[in-house]
Amino acid sequence: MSDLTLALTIAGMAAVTFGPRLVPTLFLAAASLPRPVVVWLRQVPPAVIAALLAPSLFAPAGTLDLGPGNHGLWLAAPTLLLAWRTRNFYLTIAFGIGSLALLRLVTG
Amino acid sequence: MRSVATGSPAPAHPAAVGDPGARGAGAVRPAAPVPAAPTGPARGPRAPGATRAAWAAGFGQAVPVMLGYVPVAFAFGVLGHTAGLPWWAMLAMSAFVYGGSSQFAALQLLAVGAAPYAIVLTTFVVNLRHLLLSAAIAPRLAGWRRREQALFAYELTDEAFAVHSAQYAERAGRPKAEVFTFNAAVHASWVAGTLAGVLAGDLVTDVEALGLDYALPAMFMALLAAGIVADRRGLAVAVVAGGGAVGLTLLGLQYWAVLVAAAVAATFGLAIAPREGRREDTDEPGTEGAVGR
Repeated sequence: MSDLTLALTIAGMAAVTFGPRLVPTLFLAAASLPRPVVVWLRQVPPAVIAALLAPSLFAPAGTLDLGPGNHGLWLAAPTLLLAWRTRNFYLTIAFGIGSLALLRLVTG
Repeated sequence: MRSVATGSPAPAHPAAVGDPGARGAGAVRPAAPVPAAPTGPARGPRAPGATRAAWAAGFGQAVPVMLGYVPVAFAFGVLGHTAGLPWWAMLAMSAFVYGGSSQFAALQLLAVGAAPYAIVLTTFVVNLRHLLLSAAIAPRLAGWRRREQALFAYELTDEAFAVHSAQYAERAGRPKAEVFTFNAAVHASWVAGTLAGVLAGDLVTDVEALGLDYALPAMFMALLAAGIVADRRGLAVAVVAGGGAVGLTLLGLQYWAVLVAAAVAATFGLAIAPREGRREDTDEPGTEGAVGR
């Protein structure tokens, strides 16, 4: 692939990525939406975040991994519990990162 | 072997989490309300203290995302270098496309010599989920200028959406300076991580030992458990979305997983919403005004 083709490909990638990010923002920001749509949109944050999170825990390599070697999955329970009890954003993240590093250090 | 990029976030980590953490915790309460001046820019000369606080809050919220982004972007840079792609192409992707999973997919396709249209089409499919994020966050941007909305949308990654959703749910009137500081810091870390990866080239790095690959999952858990899932309905929606996304991933549909699972789960959440619940929803402070106008 020539440099020009590569540059144009990246420009195309940027355009098709920006479009879906931009269009709803511009059209829905000032819109008065029907109640069901508002309620639906309010479900999106928990839905999207859970949909991003779950595969990275249960299938970190693309296939289901419930084995003891999947540290991230087993750490999810105490991490979620800590987040829920303390509501502390930074403490939860520091706990997650620190425990995983420690677990890998211990289990080699 | 140790490298510049993987070495640097680790020592910075305890201090970075501790220091802005204290500010971030304080900023959760609307202690310093910044007037929503629709005519003046966020950096108005009237309240430099408030603006500085907004910068600090935005940066503080960005730190965990940056901790997660830098190693991933670094890996992207290394892989691109290994695949023989020019440095400018790697930087351009991180700066202008700015979508992690789509960039890795494009790298794979470029490595096997796929046609440009196939790469662009794959990028479109992988990033189509942003449609949902953009629609859901849009009511928070009511009254913003067009170019501010466009700049915000340009930097609307999954992680930015997650943090902004949680922050807006707690403080509907948070200053724009805070929002854009967050976005700029996070975007810069993505580009800087890529650059470091390209420069480090063939150096093999052991990112996993630092546990930083857990920064973003841990952040998602923190956001979910500390407010995004507010009630049983929210929990049910999250379980349906998470289960659906895992199922779709196992079926080999990982590119569609987030978009489809989240849309189905949101519809499920709407279906189980009681009428009283909907009325309560409208009375939530902050949201009503943003949506109704």
